[in-house]
Amino acid sequence: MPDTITLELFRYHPDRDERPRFQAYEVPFREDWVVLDALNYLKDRVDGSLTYRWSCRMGVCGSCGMMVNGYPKLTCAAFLRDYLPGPIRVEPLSGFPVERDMVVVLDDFMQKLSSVKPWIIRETAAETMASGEYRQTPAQLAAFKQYSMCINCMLCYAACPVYQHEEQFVGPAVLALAQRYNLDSRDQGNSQRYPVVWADDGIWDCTFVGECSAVCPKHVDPAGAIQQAKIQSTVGFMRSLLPFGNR
Amino acid sequence: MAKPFHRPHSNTWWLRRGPYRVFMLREWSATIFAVYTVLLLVLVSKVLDGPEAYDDYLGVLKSPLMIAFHAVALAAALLHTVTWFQAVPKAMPLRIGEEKVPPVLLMGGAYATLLGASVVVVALFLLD
Amino acid sequence: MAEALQHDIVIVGGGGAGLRAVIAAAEAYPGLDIAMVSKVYPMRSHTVSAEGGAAGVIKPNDTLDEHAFDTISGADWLADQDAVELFVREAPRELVQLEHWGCPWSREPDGSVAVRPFGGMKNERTWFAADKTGFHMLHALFQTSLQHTQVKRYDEWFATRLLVEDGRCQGVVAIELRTGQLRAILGKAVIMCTGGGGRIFPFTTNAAIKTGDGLGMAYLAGVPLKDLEFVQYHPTGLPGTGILITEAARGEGGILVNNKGQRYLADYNLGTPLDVGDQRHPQLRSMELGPRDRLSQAFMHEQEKGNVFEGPYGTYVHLDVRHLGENKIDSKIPFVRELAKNYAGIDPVHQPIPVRPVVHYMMGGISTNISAETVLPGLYAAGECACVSINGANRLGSNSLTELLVFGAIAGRNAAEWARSHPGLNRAALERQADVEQQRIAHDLINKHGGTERIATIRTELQLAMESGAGIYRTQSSLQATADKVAELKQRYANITLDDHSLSFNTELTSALELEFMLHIAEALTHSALQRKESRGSHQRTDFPQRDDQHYLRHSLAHHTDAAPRIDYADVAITSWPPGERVYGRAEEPARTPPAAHSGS
Repeated sequence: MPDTITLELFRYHPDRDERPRFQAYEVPFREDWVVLDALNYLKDRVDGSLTYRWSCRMGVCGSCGMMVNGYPKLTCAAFLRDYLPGPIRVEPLSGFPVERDMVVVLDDFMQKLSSVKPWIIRETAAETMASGEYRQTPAQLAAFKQYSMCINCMLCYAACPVYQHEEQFVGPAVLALAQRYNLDSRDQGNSQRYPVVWADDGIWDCTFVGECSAVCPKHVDPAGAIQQAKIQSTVGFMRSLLPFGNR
Repeated sequence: MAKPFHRPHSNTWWLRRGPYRVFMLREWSATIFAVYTVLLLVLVSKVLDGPEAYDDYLGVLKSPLMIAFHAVALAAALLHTVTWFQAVPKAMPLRIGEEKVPPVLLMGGAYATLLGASVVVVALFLLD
Repeated sequence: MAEALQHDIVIVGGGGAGLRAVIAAAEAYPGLDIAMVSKVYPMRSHTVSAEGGAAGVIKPNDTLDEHAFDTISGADWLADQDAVELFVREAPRELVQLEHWGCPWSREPDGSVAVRPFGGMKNERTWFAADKTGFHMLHALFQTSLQHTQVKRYDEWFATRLLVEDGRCQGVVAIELRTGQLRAILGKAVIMCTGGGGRIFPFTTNAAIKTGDGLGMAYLAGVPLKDLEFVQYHPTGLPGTGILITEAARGEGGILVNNKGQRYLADYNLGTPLDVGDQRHPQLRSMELGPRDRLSQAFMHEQEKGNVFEGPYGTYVHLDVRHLGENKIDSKIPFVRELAKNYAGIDPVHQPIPVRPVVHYMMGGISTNISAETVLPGLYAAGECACVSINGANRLGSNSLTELLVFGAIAGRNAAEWARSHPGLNRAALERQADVEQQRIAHDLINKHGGTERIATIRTELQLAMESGAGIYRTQSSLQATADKVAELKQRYANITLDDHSLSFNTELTSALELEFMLHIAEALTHSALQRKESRGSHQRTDFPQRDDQHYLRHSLAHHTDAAPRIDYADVAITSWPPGERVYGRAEEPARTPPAAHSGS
């Protein structure tokens, strides 16, 4: 076991730097340290200006996604021991503008998130609480559960070559979330989501590279969700061609 | 005042990772099918032109270059078959109650269908 | 200083309570202009880490009375019973509301919501979404809130101070992280939903963001912090990281075992163990389903006896769920398996999980009444940062997620009412105050050169002092040593040094501001603990081992002064359940007297 390991960190300060640079730091190697621990070590003891987001350090808040040796990872789940002997190159998630160091701009993602109406839509006005919960069998729950596990960490966007090249692509996580609500037996709002989901910038921008699903730390499988939506969209289109095909 | 940095895109992004390379290979191999389709359409038109034209064209197809091309086209077709069948459980997942039908079964079903269809085609030839 | 931003209501914090308040206010008066200020994007808030579930009476075998009694006895009678009664009454409706908003609650075969047992409960009443309940609740709330377009979100804005003018709270000062600019965000009502401050301890389940900012802001604005000495240790955290292994693991039948292979809880008046194969296991309000304070205390005694395992990150015992089998583990507690595999390197299907008590929750907080109002007009608080109090001296597992819904909604509605009836804002005076705050931060931190103390050094020393003197067991001398240390650290904080003097996304600056809040609440906590000379719930004084209802059946209230905090006391509201013994693991009938037979002591 080595005593130390080298981290090459992407540094960019918007007020000072024209372009980013890489800065190498040596940190103690510990068997059970993750990349985030090493960053915290550096920030606490070596360079307080190092800038990154983190919070829960247990893989559920979605803050600490970065590129680790070119691969999108939650740094709270990227163990140093898996990158021996180093160096480990850490960069902000690709595909997003960089605010500072590892911090990327989320505005585009947040705006897209709202665009698919990720909430339960009912045809009738709100029911009273007195009638109790909507019934949903375990099978109906299982139909969408996987797509409800997204923590919005955006690793899938960083892995998606389409999003890297076409910023207007709604993208894997948001399309999977739309599918999550469309498949929920309690929801009646599919037709309100189709204009965004079935659009050219929606599912049809996806060329099925499949890396979004490969990098997803929560096994959401956005690629699968998008392919399913493509089938539904095609069926919908075919139906619209029939004289009595509209649902 | 803050100015976010937009990192440039490189044209060689797809060389970076294995899955990207496979993806690009799949996309580019589609051009092989375009060429193959043209060859097939020519074949059909030669059939309409009569037996002589057909035989001449068969001669052209037997050239080493053409055989090599068809070998490549077959490999590309197999690549597409494999990747397409891998997509089946993702695009058309099946559930029985709460349980997901294992992806392997769905893919196996796809291969079984392919095998069945191939047997039928081969049988038609052999019975001819 | 840029011009002040103005709204009707300002909600600080974007976790479960803040989002519930936002939706409640927006629904109450759709015309209201609502601002939500959060130092992280809402879906990053710590509600996301809650695992086990949310309590609410829904099954026919359960009653509101039993939920109230479990809560009050769990709280060692320090909960306000009027608040608890309101809480248990509102709980089912709030949980159904969340169901209507899409929360993927786990279900029974007939499609109704499923419930599971939790510690200290007489009946199963914990609603759950596998073991990611907080995550699902937070995302359902956040996504539901997105449809209210009158809400202006200030994501990644760090609030530094409450603005108080004419005796009323009228907004906050906040730093926009992206640009570093400081702005006054004015509102006719302000709701604090900023969570607890578990980060003042070294070993905690709490996320990095949980630095008690809201407690600090309210405290410095003259609002007392109630019952701050009560800190909950969750009995099952992973050694080293402090990652939470949910109580649901025990609710589903997991057992705690010491290094002798014994289910040691039997030795601590928590009942008699049943074989894990017995149909009646796990028994409610017994053994592993006892309350968290008692289980964490039992661990400490086992440690003294040498009945614990030794590891690189301290001692531990085993949480064994192997007998549940892979299927049940994967369907009911899959996150436990994921976390244990990733962070403890063991698979709970085949190996027991190493666990030890870990700081988890602050029962105390900004003192509010049952309307979520503080003593400062126009200021409301809800969620972990608030103390109503329903949690008293020890919170029951799965009451906190419900609490943030119930009191988040109440705060949202009441703040909306207040904002409508109190239109005027003293804009000029508020902007002047914001100017002063900007100068303070620029002078003390951003433009400061020449200090020698690193933030992390002071923070680490603070955490170690809290652990050693104000942990599970406390004495006068240990608490005094901690109080002295905190006072010293407050002095040293003035000599702080920053590497980062820039404006854009300066997280070293926010760490410094957080540390300041942490020092304040650590001081308030320690002094509250020093003056409570009894043992009750999570506050265990080895020098005063008995509960002392005569003197201390009262809420402590810590007030900020220029010197040490001033602690005074307020009565506990007793409606129907006179103080009694906490009985776990054996039969017991709650003594319930007719309402109004008892008044506050």
